[in-house]
Amino acid sequence: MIMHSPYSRRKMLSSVSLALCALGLGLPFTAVGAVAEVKVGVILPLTGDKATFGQESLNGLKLALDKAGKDAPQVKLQVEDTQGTPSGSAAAVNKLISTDKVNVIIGEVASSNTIAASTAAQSAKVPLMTHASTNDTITLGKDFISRICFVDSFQGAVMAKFAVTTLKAKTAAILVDSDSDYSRGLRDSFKKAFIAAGGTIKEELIISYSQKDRDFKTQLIKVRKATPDVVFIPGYYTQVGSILRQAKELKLNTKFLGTDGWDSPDLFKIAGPAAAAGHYVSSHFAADDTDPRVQEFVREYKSRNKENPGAMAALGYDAGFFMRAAVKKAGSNEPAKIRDAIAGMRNFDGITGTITLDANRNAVKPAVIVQTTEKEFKFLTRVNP
Amino acid sequence: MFDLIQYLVDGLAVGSVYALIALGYSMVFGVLQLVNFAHGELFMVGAYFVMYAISLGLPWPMALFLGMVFVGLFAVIMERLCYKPLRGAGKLAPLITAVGLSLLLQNLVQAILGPNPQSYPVQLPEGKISSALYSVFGSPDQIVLPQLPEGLFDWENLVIRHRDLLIFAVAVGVTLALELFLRKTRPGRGIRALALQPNAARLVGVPFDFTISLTFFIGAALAVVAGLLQGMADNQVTPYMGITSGLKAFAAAVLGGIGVIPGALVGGLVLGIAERLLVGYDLSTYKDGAAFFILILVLLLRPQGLLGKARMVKV
Amino acid sequence: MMEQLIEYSILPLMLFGITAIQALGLQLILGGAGLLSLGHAAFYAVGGYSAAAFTVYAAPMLGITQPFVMMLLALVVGGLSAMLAGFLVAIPCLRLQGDYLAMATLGFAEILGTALKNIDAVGGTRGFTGIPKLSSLLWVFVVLAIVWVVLSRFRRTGLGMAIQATRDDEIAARSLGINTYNSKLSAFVIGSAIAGVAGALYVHALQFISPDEADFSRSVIIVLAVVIGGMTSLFGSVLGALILVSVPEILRFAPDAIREQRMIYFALIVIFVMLFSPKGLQSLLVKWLPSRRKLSSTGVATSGGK
Repeated sequence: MIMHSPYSRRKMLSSVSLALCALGLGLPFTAVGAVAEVKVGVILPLTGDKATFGQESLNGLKLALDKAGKDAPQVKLQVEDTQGTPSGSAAAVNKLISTDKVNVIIGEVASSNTIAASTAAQSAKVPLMTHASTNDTITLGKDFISRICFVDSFQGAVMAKFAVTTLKAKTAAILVDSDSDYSRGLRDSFKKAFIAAGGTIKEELIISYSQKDRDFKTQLIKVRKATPDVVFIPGYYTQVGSILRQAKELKLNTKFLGTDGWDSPDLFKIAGPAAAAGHYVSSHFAADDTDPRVQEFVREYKSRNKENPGAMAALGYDAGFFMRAAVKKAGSNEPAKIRDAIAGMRNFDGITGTITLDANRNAVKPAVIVQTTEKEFKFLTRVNP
Repeated sequence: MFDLIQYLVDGLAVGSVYALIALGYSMVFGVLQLVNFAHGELFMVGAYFVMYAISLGLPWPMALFLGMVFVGLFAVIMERLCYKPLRGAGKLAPLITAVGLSLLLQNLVQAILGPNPQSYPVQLPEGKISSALYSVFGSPDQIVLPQLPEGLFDWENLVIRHRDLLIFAVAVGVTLALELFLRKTRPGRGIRALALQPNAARLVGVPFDFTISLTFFIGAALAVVAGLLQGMADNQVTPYMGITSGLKAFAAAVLGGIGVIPGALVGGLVLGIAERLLVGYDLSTYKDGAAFFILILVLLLRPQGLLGKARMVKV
Repeated sequence: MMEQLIEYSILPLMLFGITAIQALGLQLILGGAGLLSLGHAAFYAVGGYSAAAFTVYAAPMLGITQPFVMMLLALVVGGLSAMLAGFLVAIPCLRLQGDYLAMATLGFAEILGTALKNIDAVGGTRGFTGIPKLSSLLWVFVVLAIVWVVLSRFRRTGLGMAIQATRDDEIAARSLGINTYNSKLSAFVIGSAIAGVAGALYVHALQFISPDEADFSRSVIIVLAVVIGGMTSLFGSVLGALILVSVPEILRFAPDAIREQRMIYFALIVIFVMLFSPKGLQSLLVKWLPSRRKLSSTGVATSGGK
């Protein structure tokens, strides 16, 4: 039993040095009401088929924390990889709660993974704040779960309205990732709003695929025969990239509409430039937004990570500042107090928009619509709730 | 009706890749009665090797040839180091070793080349080695990547991609060539002799170790062909691509009659068609079970597989 | 320091206990009856799902709220449902032998996994959430101890000995009037039931289960535990489970370069154990510690029922 965990050794050193400071200077080392340190657990898909989401989120989060400098509250991150799966997320959140005793948790990206993690967080009464999971059901009936992104009933409606009013679409097909709560939720909200706006979606043109699929020809041929005005694909970039590529091969020239699950540089790599260009995507943020604060973030992110930030990077960045603000407001690192502070946050000014949490701890904030070119997303318009 | 024909044709292309992997399972099992669970990973390593070689600027036939030789030799070494010492140690030990090898390869590739899906052209990690390689082969931006034929046949409502036909043709061609090799050449006959009667084959002078190495080499080389086709078709390789494809190919091998070469092709095609039919009739969530459902039916009703001959169980 | 070590260990210890229970179940099938099952994780998943469905849907309807009673009943439900699944799979599969049996169990496991993915009431592919936390370290180790004691007693019963006789020489056993089909069937069914109990403990610890738990890779882990430890004894299976769970955990504390590649070292260990001690680590232990020879005397090492 002489295993030394590097973590505990570090902690011991830091508490010793803090104690020495306090003795030497005769001063209390934390001001009244301020929190010295808060342990933030982070669950992200750092590997697997959603890995760019995890990497970008973490880069954004770290940039925010480094920028905040050494002021209290100091945030100590404990990052766990979920491999982008629900079971990985459940295991990671259990470890953070029972082993690392974190005060609060940020993550996951994919809705199904956040849902898998949320039961354990809720029953241990550790607040879990997701920066990017948009499925409506995530926060339902779980008062320790919150989010700083918009919900899918909003996102689906934004795209449906865009399809009908801007693209003048009358008919649509939907390709649904049946393995994801995210995709299923968006299918329903898009369908509802599209029909309400006067469009039609035939039941047989709501076609499912699985995250393990690589050949989408069978699904695409059905779409090709029906020639709908638009095809809505609420899915993740790994599969969407292949779908766009194969659609091009099959000379399927319909317009594709996507959602924030598309927002990854890998979309362009997998689809290839020709197949990637010319589609419309709803997201949280656009790197070519002219807002000076967005541009400052883009510059800083680029100089650190050698690539343009996507929506996940921006949400990770906002999550970092939001979390610090909440802890500061709570004046404590007690999970229950942090929960209350998060739930009560109003008009937080983030680079992805002004964030106000509603009664169900969901952020009310604008979405952006971007258009794909051969290699990146271009800002088109902003839609307020 | 057109739908049905469409799904059948689509299934042929999907099944062809399974078939190419299944050949290796089938040959190794025929000779050693060993389920080489690491075979799916040879397919994965092959796909990576070829993708990186092509991204460095090698013409694809050269990349394919090098990949076949490299992965083939790798399989031979793997057999010598890890399976040979376990001959006679019962069935379980080599099986577990195979599983260990499969884990090892997945994680090695993940550690060296990253855990995330890679697409053409692959960007090498920054460093001295890659800049040296780029200075020899030119940077990836200048490389013209090979493409599978892009055209379409488009009759009425029937749509067939040229590349699907190509993949199917390759699978049939390779199976025929392999069958010919096994029947007409001396080393090929050696493999068949070993599969039929190991002891008698030794007595009449079939070089035992060499023949086994040859079996592993051929199986691995064919898996590289499958890896190239799959990689080009999907424009995506991952460290885990060997698991699902490997298991299904294994089911295909059993389905066709394990140890029977044309059986692997038939098994792969049947499986591919079954999967496409399920996807076509919107039952795609049942797709992954289909392979195994057919597998069990075959095992229970005709354990020697579709094309296999009944053999007495050796007691 | 100590305190943190214990805190860190609770989750890995629970996982060890759960893996050990699964391994004990498979030990009866593989080491006891000589049947290679590559689908053991499917019974674990069936047990886990049924137990979770019981606590989430059935228990509130029956008005059961007391956590102890709920967990106890969940264990029973998990065990019985896995037992039923094991029975249904065993009836066709046991007509097959050797590798064909292994393939059939693998196939059934994949089919069960696919079936679970298509049941929307338990979350489909996205997994079953909202499961209460009922299980604890104490529960896991009490169950582990009970399973161990029952299995070691069971070996000395008539049925237990008939199972071993069937493994050692099926024809001889049959000539002695042993119904070898029955003894194989009972080993398979009891082993599956134990896996189901482990599944019930798991879902109420993690509060989540997805069809991934029925994956081939999970079945492989259990086979590895049984074989690495030494498949002829209960001790070997528990030792195997300990190695499987603890090696990756201990490597977490290693320097970064080693820690990130822990699965590579783990795979290498599996290969080396098989190459240098194909009968499992327990046989090495026996060699080094002559006084513990008793542990291995309960079974004769055989391979695959030949």
